[in-house]
Amino acid sequence: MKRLKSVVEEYLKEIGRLEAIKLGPDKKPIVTTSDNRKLAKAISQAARLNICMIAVAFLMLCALFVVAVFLLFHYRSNIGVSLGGGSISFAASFGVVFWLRRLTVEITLMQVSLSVLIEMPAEQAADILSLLYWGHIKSVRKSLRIKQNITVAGNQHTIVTSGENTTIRALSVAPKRMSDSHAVAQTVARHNPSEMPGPARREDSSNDMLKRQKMAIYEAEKDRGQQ
Amino acid sequence: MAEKREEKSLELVATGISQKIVKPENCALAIAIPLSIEAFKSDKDSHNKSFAKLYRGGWPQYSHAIITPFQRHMPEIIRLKVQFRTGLTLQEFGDLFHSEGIDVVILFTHWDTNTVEFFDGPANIAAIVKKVPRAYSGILDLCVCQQAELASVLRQKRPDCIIGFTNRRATPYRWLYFYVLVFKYLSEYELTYFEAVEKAFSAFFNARSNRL
Repeated sequence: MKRLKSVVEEYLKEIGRLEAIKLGPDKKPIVTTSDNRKLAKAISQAARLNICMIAVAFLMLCALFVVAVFLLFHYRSNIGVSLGGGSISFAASFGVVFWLRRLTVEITLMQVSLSVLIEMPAEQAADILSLLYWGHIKSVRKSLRIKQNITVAGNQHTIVTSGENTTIRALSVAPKRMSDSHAVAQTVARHNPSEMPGPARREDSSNDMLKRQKMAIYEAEKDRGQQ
Repeated sequence: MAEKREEKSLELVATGISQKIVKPENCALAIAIPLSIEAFKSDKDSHNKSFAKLYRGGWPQYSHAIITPFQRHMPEIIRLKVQFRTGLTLQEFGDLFHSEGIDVVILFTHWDTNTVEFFDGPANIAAIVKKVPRAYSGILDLCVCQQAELASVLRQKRPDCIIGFTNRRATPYRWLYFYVLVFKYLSEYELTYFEAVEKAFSAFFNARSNRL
């Protein structure tokens, strides 16, 4: 199955929409109609492939049904074989139905993207595809919504975590007492979704890199001090 | 007269804040970019704010690029007892210079050709300079908010204030890591602010060259 995510990701990378946004005046690259035409071509190719996949999935479903019916009638005297075969076919057809559902969703999204690309001006189409990419295509692991209210030195801190959407509200003044800061750090760290999916990976690696670097500097200085 | 003033300024550099051991609690991290979905949406609808509008993927993209790194590092910043302000308004920015025990103010916000974006809206250079007291002799770090005109006007009109500045446009999450590292150095060693910045810079560059 060809995923829309990979096709749109490639396009957004090419037009510079996946680069980290910098503070300061907007210097966004210009999106041209040729970029969009190229994407439309890639999407229609992917859609064609997925339609073929739907046909294959439908044929598989039919085949499974025929096998199940055959087993049921041919081995009707042997209840064990007919029930076992029937249930295996039934379970397999569930998998195929799930696959069909995913294919249908992908094709619908592809058709929406295609009409956006064809009907709208290049810049607007790129904006809508960015929204679609970040809001719907890019998989976001849903996790339990955690809301914490922490009061430190009279200041109310609220940290809300829900999947990737984390909101920090009313964080005003740093704590005054050491014990409080430790308590806050521990409470927050407990719910800090360090195991967040995909997007957090880059930050992880830089953080680890910094930690390693810092440790190296610290050790070098310790050695120098001992000498 | 000008020579005398220059001498006095140099003397300040030699003996003042640049030689002072700074701890994270003496630093103020002043953040004016939105850190909640409500603030983000209101900025996106606002006609005079531009930062939220740069995120064409909407809140999910902003959350990934800005909120996640902040959320990850906030416990560390709290632990290091850094004085941080979120939702910083222009008035609050001015108040920071009158706060007891703050030697370094780091302005973490978006800027445009003639303005700097505060939580309550963009402010022009003159309004910002007015908020910095004439006698302020601390450090104002504009490495993230690299408004060149602001830096040059401040250098002229507030000669006692040391301005930190770079010419390269800042990616928010990278600079957040950078400052966390600076605060860690300040916390663990007896360093001046610029020594900590230098250490953090070299750590970053070494890390990059190692990666290359």
